[in-house]
Amino acid sequence: MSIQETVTPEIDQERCTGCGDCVAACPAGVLTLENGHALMAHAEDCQYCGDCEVLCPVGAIARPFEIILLD
Amino acid sequence: MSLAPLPRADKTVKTEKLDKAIELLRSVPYFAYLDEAALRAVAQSGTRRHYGKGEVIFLEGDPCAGLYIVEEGRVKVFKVSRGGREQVLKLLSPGEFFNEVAVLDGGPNPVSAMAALESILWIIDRSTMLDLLARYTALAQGVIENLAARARHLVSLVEDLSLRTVSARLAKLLLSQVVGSDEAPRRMTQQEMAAQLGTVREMVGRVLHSFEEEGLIRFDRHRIIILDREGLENTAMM
Repeated sequence: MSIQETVTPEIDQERCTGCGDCVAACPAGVLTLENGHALMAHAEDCQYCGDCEVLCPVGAIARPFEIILLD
Repeated sequence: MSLAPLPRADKTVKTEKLDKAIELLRSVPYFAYLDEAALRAVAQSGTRRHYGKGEVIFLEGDPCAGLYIVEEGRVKVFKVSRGGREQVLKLLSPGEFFNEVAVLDGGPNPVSAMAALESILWIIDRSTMLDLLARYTALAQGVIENLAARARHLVSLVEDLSLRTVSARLAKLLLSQVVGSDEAPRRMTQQEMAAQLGTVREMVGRVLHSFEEEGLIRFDRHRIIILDREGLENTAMM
């Protein structure tokens, strides 16, 4: 069995302007700024709430979703 | 199709016709705030015209013919498709008005109109309308309020129509993207879904949220779990 990777929101480093809004908005405090861009600092604590995605003024953050059927 | 009729205006408006005109004008929302004197002035600037049954009043695409109010008879408002097929949009009765938007922006008539029965119509042309707007601020108020209400209604309608098509297509997309337990994980962002559906991320977010409220799906961190496959299939069909 493969190790379950922690899926986290993707931050497009080229689009990111380093404004820091996402860092401030994150309720779990898992984001940080580094070298002028936002980064996921504590992936395991990310709740996938999507606040960062909605808030980013340039749309640099996107949460990937897996679609599955209930069995 | 017969040509538009030559002008046959009856400009000498007698008192009783004027009173009738004033009553008609009261039914037009634009004139809601005009007092008696102003209504009288509007009525006097209008033109009263008679049309025989089947007579064309104005044609779609022609320069704005003015704001029309039906005093008597019935008016058919319609469009003709490129194939020549007539599509009746509305049948107007006494007290109803039409072509009220073209008279404000001076654009071409958005539709065609024909007297379905022998009719008497009151017409306020664009130059008269502009003149009245300059003279009576209450008229501007009426027009602005009516247009604002119309804009509000249309925005709501567009939102509703847009939401409905996105719902059906998103449901279909979700069903097509289901990953089997033996397959490698396949993931899509809401942006990617939006791009595929020709909409924006916010709309996808809203629809997914409504699916969740309806019990069709459930969010489990990065997983969208389809709870009610049949329900989602029904949504995809709408």
